[in-house]
Amino acid sequence: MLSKNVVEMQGITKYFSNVLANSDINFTLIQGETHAIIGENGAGKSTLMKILYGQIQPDSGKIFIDGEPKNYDISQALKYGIGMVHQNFMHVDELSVLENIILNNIPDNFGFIDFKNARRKCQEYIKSFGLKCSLSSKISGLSVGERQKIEIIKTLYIGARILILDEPTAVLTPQESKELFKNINLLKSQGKSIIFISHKLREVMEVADRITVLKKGKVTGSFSNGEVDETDLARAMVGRQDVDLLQNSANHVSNKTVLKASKIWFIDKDGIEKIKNLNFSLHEGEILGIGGVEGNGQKELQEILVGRYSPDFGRIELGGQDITKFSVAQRRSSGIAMIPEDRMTLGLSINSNIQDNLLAGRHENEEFVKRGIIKRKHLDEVSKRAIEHFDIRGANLEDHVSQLSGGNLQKVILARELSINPKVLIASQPTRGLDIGAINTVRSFLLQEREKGCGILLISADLEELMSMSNRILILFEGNFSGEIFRDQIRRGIISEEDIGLMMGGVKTR
Amino acid sequence: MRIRMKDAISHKINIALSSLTNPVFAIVTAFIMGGVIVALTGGNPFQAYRVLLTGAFGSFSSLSRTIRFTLPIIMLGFSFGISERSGYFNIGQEGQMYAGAMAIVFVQYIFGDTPRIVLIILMACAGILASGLISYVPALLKLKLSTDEVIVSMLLNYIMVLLSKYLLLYSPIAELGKSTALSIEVEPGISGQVIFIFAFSIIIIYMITYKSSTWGYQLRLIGKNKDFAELSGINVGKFMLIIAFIAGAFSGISVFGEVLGVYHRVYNGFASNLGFYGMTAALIGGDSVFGLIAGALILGALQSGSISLATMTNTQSEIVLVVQGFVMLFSTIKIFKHFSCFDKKKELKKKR
Amino acid sequence: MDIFGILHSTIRLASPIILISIGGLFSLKVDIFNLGLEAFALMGCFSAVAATYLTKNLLLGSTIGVVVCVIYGLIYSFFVIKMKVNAVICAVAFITLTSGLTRYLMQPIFGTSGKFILDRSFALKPIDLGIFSENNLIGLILNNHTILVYVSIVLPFITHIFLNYTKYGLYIRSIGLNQVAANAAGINVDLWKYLASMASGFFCGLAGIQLAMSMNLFNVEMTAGRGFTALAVLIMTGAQPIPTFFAALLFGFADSISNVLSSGGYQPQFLAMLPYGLALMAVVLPKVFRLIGEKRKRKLSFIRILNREGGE
Repeated sequence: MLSKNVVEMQGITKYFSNVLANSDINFTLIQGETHAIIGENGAGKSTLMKILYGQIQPDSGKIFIDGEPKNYDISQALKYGIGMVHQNFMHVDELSVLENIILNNIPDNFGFIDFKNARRKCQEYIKSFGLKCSLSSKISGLSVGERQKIEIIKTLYIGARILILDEPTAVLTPQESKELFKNINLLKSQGKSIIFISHKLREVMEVADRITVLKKGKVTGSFSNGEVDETDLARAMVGRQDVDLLQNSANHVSNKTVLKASKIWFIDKDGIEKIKNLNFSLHEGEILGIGGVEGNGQKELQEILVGRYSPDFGRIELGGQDITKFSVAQRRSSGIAMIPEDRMTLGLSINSNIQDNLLAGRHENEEFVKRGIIKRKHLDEVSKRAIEHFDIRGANLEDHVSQLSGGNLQKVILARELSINPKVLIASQPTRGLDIGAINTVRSFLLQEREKGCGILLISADLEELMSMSNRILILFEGNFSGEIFRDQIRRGIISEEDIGLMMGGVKTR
Repeated sequence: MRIRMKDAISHKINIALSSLTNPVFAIVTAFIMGGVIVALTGGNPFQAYRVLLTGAFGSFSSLSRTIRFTLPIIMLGFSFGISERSGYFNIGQEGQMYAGAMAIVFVQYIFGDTPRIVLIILMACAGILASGLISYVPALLKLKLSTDEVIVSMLLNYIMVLLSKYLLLYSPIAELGKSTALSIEVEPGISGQVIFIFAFSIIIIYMITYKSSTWGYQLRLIGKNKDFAELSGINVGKFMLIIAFIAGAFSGISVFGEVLGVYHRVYNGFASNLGFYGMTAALIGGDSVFGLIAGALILGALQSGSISLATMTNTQSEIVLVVQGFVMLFSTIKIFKHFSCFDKKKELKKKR
Repeated sequence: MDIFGILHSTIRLASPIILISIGGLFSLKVDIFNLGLEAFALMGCFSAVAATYLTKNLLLGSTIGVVVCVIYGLIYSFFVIKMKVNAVICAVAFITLTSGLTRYLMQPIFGTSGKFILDRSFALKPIDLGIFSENNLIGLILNNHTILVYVSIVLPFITHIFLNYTKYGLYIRSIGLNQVAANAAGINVDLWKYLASMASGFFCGLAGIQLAMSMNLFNVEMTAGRGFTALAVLIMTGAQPIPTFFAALLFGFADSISNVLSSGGYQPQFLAMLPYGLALMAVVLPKVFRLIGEKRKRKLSFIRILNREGGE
């Protein structure tokens, strides 16, 4: 049986600024197979597929479609038969299902849309996917699972034979996921080739013929299903790297609870349960790592803890006091500080100078404000001291902080947040995108706070960071904790990285 | 380290230049366009501009007339500017002014017999409250229902204009049959000097508050990054409502000055177009209060000088409207950004 | 009170509003909020009168008038799309500009200011459609209108067909609803935005011709807020062509009645305020309903959870 390589990507490399997203990646897709690409956040999966789809151009490397080398953009990709089902659907909500499907290629007679023809074609697809919706109903009325099917039908309508599905089960219920796998097998039987991006190991094992694992921009494994089990995959996905980084060596953690969350539920405005019955306690002097792939409730958890979102149910206590109804300002003054993951949009006012950024959050404090007027001189002094103490390079007092590098931006945020001597520090992806020196600086400041008795919630998708910095790790999966790991257990080898990888993929539950 | 210094200085120059270039470009281009139109219709643009200039600044009386035109524009400019600073588009100045005017007229009707000082204070309060309220409504709707404040403000503008017309014609306080059509006379008058001092002090308070107070700080923060402001503990929604009210209050102050200081009456259509001049002045000024005052001065000068245009040249005074329109149009083109795009590309290449 | 007379002038008075509204509709459909329809229509009035006066030919003058308005639309969209000027500010600038330009140019072109009356021979005259016999009731209402009035009656329906049944209509609708998706579908978004803006200018130009040339005069500010009325209509109807037609008729009716009433000594201002009040409600109410809907969705989810987890 001749298996033809329908897609071949050789030596694909792509830089974003100075971050290496894809590094010399080789990837092949055989005609009629389902090929899964797995990896953690930032592994480079989406980038690689966007390159395949023509949305992005690689910095180096070659792409062969049906054996012929090609350089192309999206509209040409469509002609070659490559279709992509994005994670956020390209739907026009107010238009009907039919109109959405045919938007890429509208059949017409002298300008008037040939509805009969289009309807006939689409009806066939609708039936084969088991959809019960009417073509003329508005697409906004369909469920997420149904809309994803429409998204797939869109690619089929323009004649795609290579389908790229980007984290398709991220928005589906288990039942809908099962239906999706049935449809994938159906498409396979029709001769289509499918690429499937995911981080959920169990599903991947269920549906893929071959699996490629990406980690930090490189291919760390390429297997056929049947060769490997979930543990092998997890190892390839999260395997440790040896770098000279600071570690948390503290063994002893106080018993006093500084932050407690009980029975937290949160439903977003689409009615989806983002946090389900979440419970945890943070102790003084403890670094509690919250791990898991992004999108499993981390954002909602942060917003609830900092006070921007209100939980639909549940209770938050700070040092015994009920702060569930506290505003953001009240929580700050009670001692909760936060380092948000989005440095430039949430952590700073990028178009303001250092003083204004350092003042934020303390702009009503007596230290800086007298009778409504800001004490400029004092603010300038404090800023100068912060620049020294935190070694913020390249900072001039009147300049906008947009001039600073990533590491220095993070130091400004640290200077501000740590200045209130917080009782609880929520640090979200604090070392993302930083070089080694900056990473160690951030880690050393976190460890210093820990010494002072501050309880730190370290939310990170970087498992290595969690494992070396946390006293205890909780893995977040679909709004709840799928596992709890103690430092000891890692040290003594009771729980391995692969186990944690499995928890992140939703496999093990303890 | 050396490269960093150069970057820092050039960045500073960047900011200074861009904040100056935009308004200068807008005004110069607008005047040129106006001049072209004058020339095309057989007039002499240089003569026209000379007459405008002398008409606005030539003598003490024309200077004071220019200032008298400028002051309400400054207030209206604050009204637009302070809202815009917090990310709220307030173009309801016209409606706010009419609301303030009606409130003043009603105060006169009800409290006409109270002593002069009390009456004036009551009128000021009523005017400010009424216009603040009209400004507050679109902001409240935006906060609670996410409606578009532009549409609501514009509709309110129209409703207020019609309402005031109705009041001038049919309400019990209307003065029908008088010589000045559709107007109501307002008793206590205030001299121009008092108005000037009043306006001047407001400007000073505004500047100090904006630059050095904690509220000014919070306002700037909200305008630059709303999410960050929220995370810093600022109650953005409440803040924006207060700002909207204050913006309306500024419109009320301008009406107060116009009615009590200048016209001594409220008449139909007294505020038409005035609202948008405030917006233009704020756009010219950009981030700086001085710029706003300068912009208001230019607009006021145009208005003041236009009176002599008609008498002294064969160019009609309406050319002033044309120039104002062009200024508005060009003042928001970030011309410097278009050119500095080239610089950005060089920077990216350096980093690689 | 002559009912048929009122209904007849209803249609006549509604006509420019229909035309301006359809112009604004195209702009709205590509997500350009054109507050400056007033300016476009005013320019249409002025350029039609000026061009007819200078060329001494109604057809040629009207054509030039429309072309000027189309160019106006193009310039507006250029500033908004390419130079990224805020659409509201741009619109206000255009309104001020047009107001000033039309006033200013009256003296050089017509030799008078404020108001200029053309010779009657150039007027846009009402047409007697032979279809209606003398005593036919419908004829009393629909007969003897200018050609543009008849155009404005059928235009909303043609627009409806264009938007919903043609390929280009679908392009335009998708751009306004989800520009990213339209772009991903290969539609040249910028091109269609420019075209829609030009269409805006076109219809406002027609409105200008109808307004000015049916009375063969130009008066400063003769559009008298009709541009904003048109916006109110579009807001009320959510930019749907056929409801727009009826809403514009409503305004025309209000106009007609208030003419009658004011000459009879009644107060027209309240009647004039009513449409704006209606438009305000049309803006606010849908959002209220949406808010209630979202709250219900969350509550239902909540109840679902409670039932599932067995009470907490």
